[in-house]
Amino acid sequence: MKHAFLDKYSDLGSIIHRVDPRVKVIFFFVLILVIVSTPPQELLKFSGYFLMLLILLLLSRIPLLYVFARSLVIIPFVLLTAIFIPFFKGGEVAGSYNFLTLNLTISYKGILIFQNILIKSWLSVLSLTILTSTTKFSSLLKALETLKVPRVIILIASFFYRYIFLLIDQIMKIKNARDSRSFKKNPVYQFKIIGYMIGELFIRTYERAERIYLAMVSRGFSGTIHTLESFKINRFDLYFLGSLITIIFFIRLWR
Amino acid sequence: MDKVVEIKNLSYTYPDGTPALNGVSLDAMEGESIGIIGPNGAGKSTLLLHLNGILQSKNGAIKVLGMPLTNRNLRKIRSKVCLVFQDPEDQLFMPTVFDDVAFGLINLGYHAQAVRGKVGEILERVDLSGRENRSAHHLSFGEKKLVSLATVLVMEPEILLLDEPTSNLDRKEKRGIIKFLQEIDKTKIIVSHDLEMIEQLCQRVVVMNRGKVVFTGDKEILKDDSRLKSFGL
Repeated sequence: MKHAFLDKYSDLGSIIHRVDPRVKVIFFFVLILVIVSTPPQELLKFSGYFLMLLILLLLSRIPLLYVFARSLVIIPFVLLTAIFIPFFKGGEVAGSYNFLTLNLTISYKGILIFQNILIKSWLSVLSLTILTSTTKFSSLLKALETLKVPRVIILIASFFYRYIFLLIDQIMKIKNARDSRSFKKNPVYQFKIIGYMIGELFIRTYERAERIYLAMVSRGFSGTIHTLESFKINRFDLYFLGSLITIIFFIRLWR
Repeated sequence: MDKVVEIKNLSYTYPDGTPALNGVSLDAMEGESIGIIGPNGAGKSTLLLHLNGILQSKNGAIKVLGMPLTNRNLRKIRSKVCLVFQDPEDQLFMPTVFDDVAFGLINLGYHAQAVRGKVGEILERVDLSGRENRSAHHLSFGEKKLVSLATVLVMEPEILLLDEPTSNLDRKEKRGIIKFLQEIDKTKIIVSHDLEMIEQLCQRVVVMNRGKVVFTGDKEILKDDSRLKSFGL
């Protein structure tokens, strides 16, 4: 079965794609830290970061719509956690409503914090979307590995990336098998079936893990996975990192 | 010719009590290709898993390349005896094709330069140059089977153990695999239901049924349908 891949546009080969993955990881990490530490009322600075991301995006030749659609995925989660903040903050009251027996008041401070969370989380996810769509997932893992991210985390991500589509395939197959001979529409019965499906999936995954381990052992695995490093930082990477970090700090510290 | 594999009176029961092997004895000569056939559940794959020490039985003795199969010799034996699993999704677990093929070499302690050279060479041999940075997920099934083979051949094993190398392949892919295997002059032990492939690749055929070796001999047996039927095939 066919899937959309996580790193769909990572083969394009633009300037941004060719930058050393380690440099990109460091840059976007610094950028996110700077974004998060910017005071909430400085909207001009946020526009500055956005402009910069937009320029990177245009240089990378990835379809804008794709990246924006991707980055919006996070918004529902943010809304869900942040929606109540405007009601709970004290300070100058922006408006108050009576809803049945509840008296709801919204403060300016609350709105500011809400807006702050929304903007920061969206800009951060936008940054990460650009990073992951301009870097192959395997290179990204390698970059993180050379930047001393713990091996266990890299391994989990690596196996996850390798087997997630296979797992989805299996779910689809089980679902197809169910649908081709399931006639009862009784929801209680359906729930029971879903329970069996989850169990079945667990057993299959467990057994696959066992076989993968045997395949690893057969090729001399003894506890740690080693890979070859294949990155070379060139002068352009250093210019890229230096100039962009200068720009973001300039935006951040400008009064 | 030297005996490279000697199995004497091997029995094995899975931890859940399922008997799998019952007094199996088998020898393999250097450079020989042996085809193991038999109905499902006959113990063929279980036997393969014993030959590089993944499964170890207390009943019976195995000698590989003159070494008894014990925990002390395990590392050495595994670098000489390589097993290719039936499902390439199990065999290919790294993020890219290059990493998968390089995995065994790095574990054997080769230097980076040598690893790159050998991986490039073997991928050229299986006609998959230029796929180094692909994820296994992006390969066709036939390509996955070829890369699986490459992942162990690159380690230059003395003995190659193959579990269903041609299952689920279309005719063209199957021809490709058979041609490729014919060019390898190492000792091969092949477990399969694909009698056509066994006939093309192997000199000697072993038939197993219910954990026992019921026939060992020339591949002429493959043409004798009534005898194969009497073995449960």
